[in-house]
Amino acid sequence: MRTEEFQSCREFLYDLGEIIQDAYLYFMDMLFSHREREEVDNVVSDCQRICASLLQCAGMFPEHHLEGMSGKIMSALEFKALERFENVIPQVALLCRWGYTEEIVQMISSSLIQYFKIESSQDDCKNAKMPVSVAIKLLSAILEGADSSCITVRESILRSNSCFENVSSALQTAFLNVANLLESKVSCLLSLFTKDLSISI
Amino acid sequence: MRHAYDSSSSAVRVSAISAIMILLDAPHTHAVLRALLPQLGNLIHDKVERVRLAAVKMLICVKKVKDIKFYHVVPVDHLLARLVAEGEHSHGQSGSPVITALTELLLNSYFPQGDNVTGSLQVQRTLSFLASDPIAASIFYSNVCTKLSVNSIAKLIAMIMKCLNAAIKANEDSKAESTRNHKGGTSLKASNTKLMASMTDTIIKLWETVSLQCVRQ
Repeated sequence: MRTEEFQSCREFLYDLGEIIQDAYLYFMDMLFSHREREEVDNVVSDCQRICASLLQCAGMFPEHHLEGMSGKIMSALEFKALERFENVIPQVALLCRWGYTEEIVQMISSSLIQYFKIESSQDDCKNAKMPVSVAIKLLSAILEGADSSCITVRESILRSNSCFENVSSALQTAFLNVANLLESKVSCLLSLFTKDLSISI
Repeated sequence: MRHAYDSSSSAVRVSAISAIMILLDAPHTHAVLRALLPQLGNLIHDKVERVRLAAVKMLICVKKVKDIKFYHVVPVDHLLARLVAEGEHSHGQSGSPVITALTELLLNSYFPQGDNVTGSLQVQRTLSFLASDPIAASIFYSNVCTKLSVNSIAKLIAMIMKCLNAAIKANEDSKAESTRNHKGGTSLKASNTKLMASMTDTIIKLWETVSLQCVRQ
């Protein structure tokens, strides 16, 4: 592309940052309001499609061009209502594009570790920033998703050794804790069962 | 004409279409061909790709002839259905020669260009295409980069994005429930989420083609 052509192309697209941000917030609001009314219709899936495309558009800009957008998305990821959403991967992909991979991985890891802690209290779970159901869905999408957003997140995690180690150690800890938890429950059930059996005999 | 439907050889069918294209260069054949060409219309659905490609190329030749309309040879709904079917064949990958040729054929209809063409007319055509056949439109705009300059694509992105913004403003504005999109156009509202989703899908597809071209440079 010639330099002058590239320059004029930039001029056309440069002003769109604000529109993208406003439109994203508008359709996110529409999505939330439809979800709150428990309306399962095409509007919800359309809004999700719109938001995903707008986030991809936002990813074409540097972060500073869409002032405050990363903060809004980050705080939305901590929002409990997100538990009812199927897909937050476009939001996460944008944050990864803007260099927030470590923060995202930290949110997923701490959510997993705190939820599956053996002596976890209600307070521990409340302290986790990201709801565990969101973290698990997210992780599964990152591991096996085939769309461009999943690939973006997966690649950005794999690029950073610390992120990869963080998420894999969180998974390992959660797995061991769940295994221990199940083992203790099974042995408890078995002891109850043998007790019942001895009484009946 | 008989050879154009030779079921034993696709090469014969392609040659028959090529012969028709040569005939189209001679203006005195147009009166006869105008009546006969619709009989070749179904060749755009031929099972062999090179026959389909030859048929679309013939339509591109027909388009240059003043006396014959290509959409009289093959109805527009057949052309759009072919675009969708080719998109399914190529699993959404751009670069299929038939899709590229169909994009060239339909370019002036859905993205008119020229000194007398205004931006609002381009947007009007784009929006009505997105509203009437979103799947065909999506394939068309994914491939439009092969026929348009980067500047034209960037301009189109900006125009669609501004329409999206206008639709949101119209929804927010309680006094004006809808906004009329140009003379006699369809009403554009953010509550029409299906159209809005098609618009944003198109924007990102166009934008990706622009950034791909930037990367290639």
